[in-house]
Amino acid sequence: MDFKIEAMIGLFPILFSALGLTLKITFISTFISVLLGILVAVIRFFKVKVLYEITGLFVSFFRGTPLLVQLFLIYYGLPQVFPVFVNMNAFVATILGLSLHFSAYMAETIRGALSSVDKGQLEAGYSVGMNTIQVMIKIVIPQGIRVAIPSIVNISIDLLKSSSLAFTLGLADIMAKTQLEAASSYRFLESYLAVALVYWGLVILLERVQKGLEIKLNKGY
Amino acid sequence: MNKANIVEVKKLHKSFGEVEVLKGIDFSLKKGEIVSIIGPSGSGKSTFLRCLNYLEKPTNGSITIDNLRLEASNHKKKDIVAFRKKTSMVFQNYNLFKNKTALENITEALIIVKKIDKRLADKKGKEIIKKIGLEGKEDFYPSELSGGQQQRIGIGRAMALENKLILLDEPTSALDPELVGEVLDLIRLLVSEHISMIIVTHEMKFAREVSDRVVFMEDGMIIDCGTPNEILVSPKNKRIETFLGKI
Repeated sequence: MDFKIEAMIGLFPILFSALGLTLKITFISTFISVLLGILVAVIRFFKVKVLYEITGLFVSFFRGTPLLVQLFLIYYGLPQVFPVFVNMNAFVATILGLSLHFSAYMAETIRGALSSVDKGQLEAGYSVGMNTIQVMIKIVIPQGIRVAIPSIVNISIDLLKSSSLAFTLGLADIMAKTQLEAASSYRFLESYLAVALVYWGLVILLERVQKGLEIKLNKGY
Repeated sequence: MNKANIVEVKKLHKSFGEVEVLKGIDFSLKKGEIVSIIGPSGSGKSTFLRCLNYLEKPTNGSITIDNLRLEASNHKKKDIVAFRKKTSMVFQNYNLFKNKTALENITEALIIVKKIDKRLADKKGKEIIKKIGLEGKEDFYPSELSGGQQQRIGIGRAMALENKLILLDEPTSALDPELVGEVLDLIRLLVSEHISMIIVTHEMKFAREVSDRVVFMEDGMIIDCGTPNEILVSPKNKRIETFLGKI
């Protein structure tokens, strides 16, 4: 059997040097996709005129086409029509692509969670004189997010793993480093196993975060 | 508008699709007056009450509360928010904010609607908690409290706003019989403070005890209206007599 554990272990320091980039992409994109997801969810929850149709198209497109295609469209396609995007670097393009793609999933999950919040909560907010934005921010969204947390973390896990596509735009994330190492050392099994373990470890950390969040948000239920 | 009146309702109609639930309600309430609305299920009592703070949008007619008049056919969103600030509502199912503690349920609107400083709001909230007899429960979440305690907070939340009028929609209907008493006692306290109130209720004895006037509704209309004695003790209307006999 030709498996060199040292080759695998030797790769970890190289991967850790690129870990920051992967984490940065993941955190920023998750943050944006949750916020954008909430915005789209609220628009769809209240069936806001015109915006409802636009967000419907948005969700349908970003869920209905492959992430890789979307990344290429944004990075290579957009500058062709909009000169402002010519100077967009691969980092920004990746974040934009991941945020838009996963916000479509977040939006549907959060919309479902908002619908699960008792209508009486909205009415109680109105009855004490709150306007719609105040009731949503103070009462309905916090209760909905609590329900949505497992799905939101699920989507974040997917996002973390999908950030590996960043290498296709030329970003030196952990996946790109692995590719380089594997190609030069011919140690494919060791290299890809090492990167798989790093992703897995990160996902386990995310699952921990989920547990913590659930305990915190379930207080009082 | 008659100056002594805090509420005036003119020809109020409300339909849900094809079904007309309110068929032209005329109603008025004097400042400090306590009116109970009784009647069979489906008579439109709750819908009428919910129209008074626009949780239901009337299809036709007008409502004036504390000199703010709202026409069903012609108003802006902004008007509704202003209009709602005239009244507080106590719900049958309490509808406490589930993600807020007992104290926060009372102070939330003080802070974000009335823009009262958080420290002052907390102070006021604690006074209310004391008044409703729930000292020590400030940091409890609604799910940790009994139905009676939750409804007392619901009433406390309405009291704290110090609005012109409190609307109570069957405040004891969802409670275990043994918890009804504590909630009625708290409403009696509001009565003694001469706060204007409209109460939709099935508690006839209570209605008789606290009301200045009793309104009988059926089939989306006000059938009769008078003192508790006129309506509940010796009703002239045959329909009311059968209704009371059935209860």
